Amino acid sequence: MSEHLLAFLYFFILLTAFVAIFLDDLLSSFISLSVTGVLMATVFALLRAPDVALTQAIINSGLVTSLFLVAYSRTQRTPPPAGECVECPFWLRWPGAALVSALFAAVLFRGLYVFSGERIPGSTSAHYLSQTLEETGALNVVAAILLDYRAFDTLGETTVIFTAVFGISLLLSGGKYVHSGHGLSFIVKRGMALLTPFILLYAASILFLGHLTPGGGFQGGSVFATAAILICVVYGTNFEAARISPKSKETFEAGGAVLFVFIGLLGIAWGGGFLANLSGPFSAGTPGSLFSGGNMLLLNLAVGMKVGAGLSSIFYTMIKILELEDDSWPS
Amino acid sequence: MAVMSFITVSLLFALGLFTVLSQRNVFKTVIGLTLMESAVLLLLISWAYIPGGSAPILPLQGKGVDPLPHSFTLTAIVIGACDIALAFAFIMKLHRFERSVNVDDFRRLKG
Amino acid sequence: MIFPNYWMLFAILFPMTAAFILQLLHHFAPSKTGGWILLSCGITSLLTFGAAVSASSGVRVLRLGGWGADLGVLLVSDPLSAVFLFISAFGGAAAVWTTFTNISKSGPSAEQWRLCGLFFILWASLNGILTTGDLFNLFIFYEILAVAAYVLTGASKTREALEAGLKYLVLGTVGALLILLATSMLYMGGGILNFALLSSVVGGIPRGALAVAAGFTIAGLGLKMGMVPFHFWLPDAHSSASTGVSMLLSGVVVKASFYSLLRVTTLLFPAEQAGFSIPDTLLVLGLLSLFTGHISAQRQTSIKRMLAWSTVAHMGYLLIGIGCASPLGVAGALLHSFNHAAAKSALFLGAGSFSTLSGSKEWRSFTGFGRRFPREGAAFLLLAASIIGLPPLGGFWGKWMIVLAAMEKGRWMTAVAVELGTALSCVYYVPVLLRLFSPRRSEDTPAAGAFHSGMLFIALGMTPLLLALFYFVPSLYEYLIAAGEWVVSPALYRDAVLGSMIP
Repeated sequence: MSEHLLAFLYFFILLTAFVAIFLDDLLSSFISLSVTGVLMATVFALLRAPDVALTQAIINSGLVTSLFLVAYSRTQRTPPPAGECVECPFWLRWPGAALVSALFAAVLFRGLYVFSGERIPGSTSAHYLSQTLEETGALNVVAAILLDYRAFDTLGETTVIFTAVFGISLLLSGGKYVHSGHGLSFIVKRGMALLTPFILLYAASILFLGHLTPGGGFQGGSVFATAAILICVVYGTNFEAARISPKSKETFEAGGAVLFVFIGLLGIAWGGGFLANLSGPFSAGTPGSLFSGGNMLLLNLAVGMKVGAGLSSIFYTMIKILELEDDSWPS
Repeated sequence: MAVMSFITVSLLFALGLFTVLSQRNVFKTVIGLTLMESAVLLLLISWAYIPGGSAPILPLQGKGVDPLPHSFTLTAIVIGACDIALAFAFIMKLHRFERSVNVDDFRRLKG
Repeated sequence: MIFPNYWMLFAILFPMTAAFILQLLHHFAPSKTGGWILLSCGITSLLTFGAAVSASSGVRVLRLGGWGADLGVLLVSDPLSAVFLFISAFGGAAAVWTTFTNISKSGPSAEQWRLCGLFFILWASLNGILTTGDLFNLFIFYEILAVAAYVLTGASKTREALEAGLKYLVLGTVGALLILLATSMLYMGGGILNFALLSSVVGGIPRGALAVAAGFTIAGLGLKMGMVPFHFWLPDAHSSASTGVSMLLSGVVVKASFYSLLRVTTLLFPAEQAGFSIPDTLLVLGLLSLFTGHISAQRQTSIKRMLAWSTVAHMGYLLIGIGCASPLGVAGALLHSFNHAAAKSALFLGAGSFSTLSGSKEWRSFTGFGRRFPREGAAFLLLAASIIGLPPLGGFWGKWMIVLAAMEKGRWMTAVAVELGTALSCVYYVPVLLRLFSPRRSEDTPAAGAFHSGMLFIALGMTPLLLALFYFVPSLYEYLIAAGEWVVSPALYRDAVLGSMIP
């Protein structure tokens, strides 16, 4: 990999981040931030981290940007607050903030600099790379770590999503879907209708082949959520909500979580410990085939259910708040 | 190469911190948080890379990069997205009261 | 004997799953949610208590998925976790019970059951923080805790609550990112994330990196526990939330951060390696928190805000306790965590009930409530006296041990400062008590209502008397000192955990 290319990408990451911060127009900021996300994904791909690149591209530059846009569209009905001092430049306004950040950067770099020598891989990572196939039956080492060696972390992580969805529903409760938004033109709708099966197929493939190729429950689930968001944009706010109600989304989500815990408990029942894979009731199968890697396929399904249903219900909860509560606003 | 990554990470994190500390629009604050998060992700992934290494998908060609930071990063991305979504929920609710997205209007509690 | 090791796993798993099932129940059998909440509350409390008891008799190590310390995640509980698991068992149950009775009194609201679900998730993550043996796992549990705590803070959806929630969210996320940064740096240096293994290779990490990682860890965890100068969010969050949430946040959640700080700093940042003395730093930060908290509390007219500032001050006592870096100091801090958790939860419950009665959060509106509700008034008096630190009560002995530890180390000024803190806290608690027991009845005092959760409050009000026993019953006292010795010598933890790995 060329260092020059990397330097070039780093430079543009910093540049787009800088632009995102200092543009006055928020929409342009979001676009710039999204570009930062895509550049980061490129860097991750160059640095041989395909799983991370996929996740970064789908979640950070796709879903998060769409959330930015939703939140923006829900809060910009009023003119920007008075007293915004646009004339005076930022470096005069907040020298303190600049000083603190500069000091922080210096300290951080000082701490990191000692690691700039030769990189010697640790014994743990060497073990993962050499023993994964034998110990877990999976081909994707990152998936093996996420779903077998350190599956408990993944349970915690899916719980974070669950909590966030739970919390957002609590905070934004009281709204209702309103029959509004007719969506885009007929041509776009037809186009979307043609595309949807392929998007769903793609999502299913990265979900179910997570233990063999880059991807897995998180990425597959997020693509499902992205498909839901796209359908919402193209067909109007009401279309998807009418087909998959929030109730069934939440059921899906909690069902995925319970499935995860249940698979874990099976491991205890077979005497291999919580979330045990091959030392529990599961078999390795033929390496490289769909049914290999023990419980990873099931865990990917559980995580995918949870992430897909969770992220799309975050999006829908955020959309619905809006229309209803306008009336109760203080005028 | 490592030094280059470290410089980028430090600058990106500091840029995010600066945004959180100085900007008055609450959306900018959230942008700052995402930038700080990105900096940490970049640190982990650039550290995992080993010159000449290949992606951690078996069978390996030559030596592989360190897979453990990849799984941490994946986790951190999802968690970060949840934090940001929650921040938006708060902002949207607060906007109903204040009709503003200015951080100064969100600083009524004092003392 | 595998079974005792599983208590801690189920203390995490059960409340988590209870929340998942609560969501399913809400959709398919709404009438059953109330029963399920109560049942889960009881079971979780029992499991947490079981985990605490099993850990208090020795180190428990559980390998998840059957992997060893270097490959997988370990759950470890030891006498130190046991102390905090006891706090979690009682504090969590009290908070869920309070919220649940509140909800059922105000009528079943559409979304209120979600509050209880969040409590269970928060409880699960608390138990996870207290028993995890892995740095990255700790970060994840912190995120669960944080997300649940942000939402609970803002759950009443008043303007103040939302503002406090957003502030908490922004600062909490910065704190979490600092912790993640420190975690990455430790991984870069040590190549491992298990506490015990990392602790044995930490000597090989270059000094500069370790010092920066230590700084980030202290800042990140300090942010989560409301340590000065990272305390801005705490008074807002703890005073704007509803009563049950304040009880949990102020009583138990900050203790979990204190526990992590204690665990991480003693295990991973030995003084000779980090290049600066961590205990001394914590001592200075503790003194700052102590005075900032006590002095700011005096300016408050709102009772909950006053109690929240008092929490900042008490975090200061705890930090001073570990800053003494001796078994006695740590034991004092542990006893004080206990006492503060019980007394502060109960005070928030009492304050919340008085506020509901008078319709105002201002403590000046509580005129004569102590006379109208003599038993509850006496409980409030007892709790306040304990938290001020008056001698026969539990609150005194924890502070006393911290003072003794400071003097043992020759830090006379610190000892004087701790006692000065006691005097300062009298200045703001005594007027509240005088108002509570004043014979005068102001005109705007509303008609007498029922005291909410009176029995629970009275029961909690008795705890300061019980906690005083810790100083006088030799076995309990020795237990605390043994836990203190255990904490200050990380080699013991390391050997116990790694020793259990050998089949």
